[in-house]
Amino acid sequence: MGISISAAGSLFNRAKNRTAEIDGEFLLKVFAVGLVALPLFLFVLYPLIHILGRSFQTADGLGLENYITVLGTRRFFLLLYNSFAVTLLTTGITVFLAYGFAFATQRTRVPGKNVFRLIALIPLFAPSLVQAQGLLLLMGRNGIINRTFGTEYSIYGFWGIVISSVLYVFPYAFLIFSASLAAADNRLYESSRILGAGPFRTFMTVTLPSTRFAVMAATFVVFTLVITDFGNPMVVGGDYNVLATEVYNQVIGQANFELGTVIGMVLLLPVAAAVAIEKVLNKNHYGLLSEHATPMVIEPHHLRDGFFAVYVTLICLCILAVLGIVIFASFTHLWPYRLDFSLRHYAFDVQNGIQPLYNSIYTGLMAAGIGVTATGLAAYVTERFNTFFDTPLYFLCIVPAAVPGMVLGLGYIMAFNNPSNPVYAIYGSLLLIAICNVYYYHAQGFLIASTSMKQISSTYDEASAILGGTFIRTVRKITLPLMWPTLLGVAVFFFMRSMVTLSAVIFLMTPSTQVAAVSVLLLEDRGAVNQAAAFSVCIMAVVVSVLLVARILLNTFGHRHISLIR
Amino acid sequence: MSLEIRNTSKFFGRLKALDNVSLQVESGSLVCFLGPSGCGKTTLLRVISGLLQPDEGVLFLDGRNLLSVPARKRNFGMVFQSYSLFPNMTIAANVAYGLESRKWQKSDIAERVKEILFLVHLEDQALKYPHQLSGGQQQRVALARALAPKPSMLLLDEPLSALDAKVREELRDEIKTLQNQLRITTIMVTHDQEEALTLSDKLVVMCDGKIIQEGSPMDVYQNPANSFVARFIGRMNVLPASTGIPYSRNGHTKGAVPNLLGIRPEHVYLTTNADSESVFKGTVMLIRRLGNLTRVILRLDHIQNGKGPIRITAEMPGQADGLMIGHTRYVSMPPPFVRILEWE
Amino acid sequence: MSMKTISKSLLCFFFGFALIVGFAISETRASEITVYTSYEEDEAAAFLAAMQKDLPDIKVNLLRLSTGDLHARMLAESANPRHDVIWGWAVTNMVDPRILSMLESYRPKGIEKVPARFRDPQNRWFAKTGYMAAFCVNNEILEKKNLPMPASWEDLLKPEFKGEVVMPNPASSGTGYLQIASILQLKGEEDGWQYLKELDKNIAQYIKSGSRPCNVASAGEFAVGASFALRAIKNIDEGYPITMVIPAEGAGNELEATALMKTSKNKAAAKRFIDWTLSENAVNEYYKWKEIVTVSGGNMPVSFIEAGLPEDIGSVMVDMDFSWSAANRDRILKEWQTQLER
Repeated sequence: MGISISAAGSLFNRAKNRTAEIDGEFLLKVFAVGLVALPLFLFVLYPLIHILGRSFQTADGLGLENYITVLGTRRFFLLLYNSFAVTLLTTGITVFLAYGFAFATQRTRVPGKNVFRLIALIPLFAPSLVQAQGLLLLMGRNGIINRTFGTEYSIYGFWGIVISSVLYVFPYAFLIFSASLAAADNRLYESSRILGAGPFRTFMTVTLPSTRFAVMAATFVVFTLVITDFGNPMVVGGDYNVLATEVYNQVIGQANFELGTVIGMVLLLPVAAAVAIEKVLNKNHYGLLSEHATPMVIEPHHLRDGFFAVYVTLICLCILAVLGIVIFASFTHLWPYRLDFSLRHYAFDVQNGIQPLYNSIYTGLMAAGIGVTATGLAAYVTERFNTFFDTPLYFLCIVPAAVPGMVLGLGYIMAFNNPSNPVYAIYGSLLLIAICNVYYYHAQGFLIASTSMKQISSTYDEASAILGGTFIRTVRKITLPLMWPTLLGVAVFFFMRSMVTLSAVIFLMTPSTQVAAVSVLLLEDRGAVNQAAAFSVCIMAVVVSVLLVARILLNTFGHRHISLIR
Repeated sequence: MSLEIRNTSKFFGRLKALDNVSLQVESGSLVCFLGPSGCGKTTLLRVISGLLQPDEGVLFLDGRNLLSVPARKRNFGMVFQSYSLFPNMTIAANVAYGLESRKWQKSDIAERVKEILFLVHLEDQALKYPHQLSGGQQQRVALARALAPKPSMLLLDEPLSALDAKVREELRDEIKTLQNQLRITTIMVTHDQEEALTLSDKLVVMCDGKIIQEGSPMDVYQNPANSFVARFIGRMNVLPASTGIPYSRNGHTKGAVPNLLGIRPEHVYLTTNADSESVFKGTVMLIRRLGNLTRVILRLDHIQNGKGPIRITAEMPGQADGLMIGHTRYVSMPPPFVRILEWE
Repeated sequence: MSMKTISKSLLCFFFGFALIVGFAISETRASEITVYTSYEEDEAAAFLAAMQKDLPDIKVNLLRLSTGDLHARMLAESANPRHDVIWGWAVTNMVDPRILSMLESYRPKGIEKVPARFRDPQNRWFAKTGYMAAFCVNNEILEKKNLPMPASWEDLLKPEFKGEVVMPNPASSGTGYLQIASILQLKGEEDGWQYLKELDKNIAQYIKSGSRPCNVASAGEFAVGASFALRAIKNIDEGYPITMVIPAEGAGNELEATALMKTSKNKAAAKRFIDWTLSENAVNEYYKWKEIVTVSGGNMPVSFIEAGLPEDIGSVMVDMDFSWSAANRDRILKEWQTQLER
């Protein structure tokens, strides 16, 4: 609810009263709406329009030629089939496994839950292709397993992509399920038991229905992540190509922007559809939990707890094995022939040396700053101004969720590498990479901020207004002090994603702005396995340190409940 | 400070939350807006506070147009149902907030905070945080915070409804005492008729965005304008006029033949034998003994409305020993107490 | 709230923003140039170190991308190129008319040392180094699986190598393209394509980069990686159990050219840099790293010879027709993509 809606309200709301004075506060609000909307237009919609335009651009003017060229080939349908095969299977497996894992940590008495929980989230701290990296070291034709057992199993291709993708997206699904399963009304479970339902029936009739939105959300999130990921398929796919790698190859490898944009648009469709469906289905499920809900009481149950203990241990072992082998390989002299300890891969005697890591950190800090400002402001404007613009602005804020990173990156080149565009001033700088990351992850950051904003009663703003507080004073004295832990969380979120993301920035890097995640891809791509591993380890170390510092900060000020890992 | 609301309307989409409301609030009085939820009483309060802008109509404060003044400049105090104390500030800082906003001197602020906390008996809680206080204490802080800047008017939005019954009564008395002491013009929104009756100088009964009746609590209680008010405030037996119950026309002169009549249960008398006044024979259906008072519901065997025999509620002091379900009693309804009600 | 407070906070915001932007822009200094290259990372780093000794006042921002990647990027940025110099990039790609139109004619100091057939008649580019195809063969796997040491492209057709050979994707990799171009030139197009189709049955993967086939063979993932000589030599140096095999039919090769961009904003520094690439120090450095150097002087390092490179490399090299390779690049790649790409 706005502060002093009297002034702004009469013009913003449908109003017959025009007597209101237009004071500074009203102008400030218009300005704030503009401050939220304009960058979104500039950094999300404008590049998308460029991509769309470019996909219709042919040698002789606008036309469908590019689409006909791409859609008319057998190869395209093969890639489409491959993409969907990998994505659907990965989504199914991940949703199933992550649900079980979340169930184990929220609804059973498995010991050491926090440790398991943390392990499940570790993949978030590493560049997205680290799973494929580890998988190759572990299960490649000359990986540890084949070497140890003398087998000749080959991981390249379909199953390699599926396994590494499952590991990559597992924590995303787990987080969604974990949040959903944490909210439970014990009364429902008691009534179910009193009515004589067994554990399985209770699960089917109470637990599953109450988490159906989470199942949907996780399905769509996982689907989107997998179908647009090219890091893992590139490393472990071998000759098994998918649409995402094809965009990368068409554009980076073959300078074929037109065809790249066409596939980009094709990729945009299922993702946009997935996001749209999820938003529509989820629209009215606030307050799933009634106010009178009582917290869950979990009774010990040996069989169940034993089963889930084994289950989470196995999954954690898989995650740890894949990440652990990367860390291990980075410290060996010459993988896989000389496994004695060596730090030589940390010398980074490659061109640019360790600089990409510093670039990443700097970019991450900028992305955190810009991201927290942009999404915090966006959340404030949409939650508290109560203007006509709320709904369109909200939509605009979550649009980026439907844009694959590589499509956004491609759009940036096309839109901004042009001296007549004012953004050109920062083209080729880390700032633009930071901005690109912010708007790529804008939807998630915005949702974190606005959820937290919703939880802060709007009557604080009203009370402040009645007590004579101005907009700025309210924000400074009340909103910010109440929001800072969440905002710190949002900042950490942007930093973390910025450190590990690959898809958008790969199109934007220049000699002086190479970032660490791209270094990993390039090193891995040219086969420098040990050094790529060492770079991945450095990225993980930075992310974990930042998380630790933020955690300590929050705990010191008594905000244990704020979760940092999203 | 007197407030005048003239022809004010407010829409939420197609819903008419306020429908051409006009009202006068006298300086120094305590006015209660009473009505069921959704009747528009809170909307009206928010329009007065400046948190909402009306779509039609004007507001005057001592003859000055209020509409062009934003909420933060109206110098009103407001207490919310949910306390709304700033959780990141101490009690003292909460109370001082409005003073700082209004640029009081530092020393004056300290003094005023002390003074006002003393007034609500919380002087020793100044350095605590809101979550360390009980609900009743928090609401007293909210009251102190609203009063601290010496507002020209105090607005209370269901201030007591989140509290336990006992605390509610205490705080209700405290508000009354404070209001008397400070002679501050006060508007309180409530859905609790007992609260409204005991507190207010003037009662404003609202329904569907309209003011149904206004007047002193006694007046509204004794002479409800229609069956809605009659049922909402206290209890009243509402009977069709066609039953032939005698009534007096005192006050109500308009309308040739009334449709509905009403009588409060405490004015319904029961006797064991028929006499000249007790002409309606009834059967006791239900007896509720409430300690100091007994409520009896009877079926009037010979008086029908469309659906069957009419039921009537009577209240009598004491325990009504000996009265049992199924007993026959004769009912008397003295005409001076029988009111003419307009249709809802 | 007063207008003053608003304007104050706005000012703060914009100053902060301007500061960040300013910081980002100020990175361009006067004697700073941006150079795009496809030299391998390690060799580029070595050349650059030598250059920095001779030209300490020039700061070089170096972007290293594989041949095809660089091609894509330069075309993408053609509206407004970011770089001043292209350094060590496949001639076959350099002669793309879209690229040529971006280049400025320039005769660097000492250009006469480069034989005329290694330079553009219009002086838009010159090539001073090159690289040649070679197989990296993993000894450990040969032993374990009892495979014969392949000596030629023909040997790779043997059924026992099924699933053991990896090769670069010619569409993205310069090395990959020179390999199939050399085969087509050696065998003639008809037989060449026939051979490639036969070879396809044994190929485990077409890999996007030219050095990675050697690296995965070195890591023991596959027995044979078709790559280029330098990578094999360096990996042997590293200690990997591999053998470098120069195909008996002759090694395909590619020249790496250097050029000045018309759009360079710092031509003085760019020209000094290009002049340096033909200096004696530079040439000496080339001889330490490159199997092919078009400028005379210097000797082949011992490690090259130990790895199996003949001192007279001309004897093992295919006499490539670069103009044919360049002119037919699009057609060949298209054919390869329809016939063989997976």
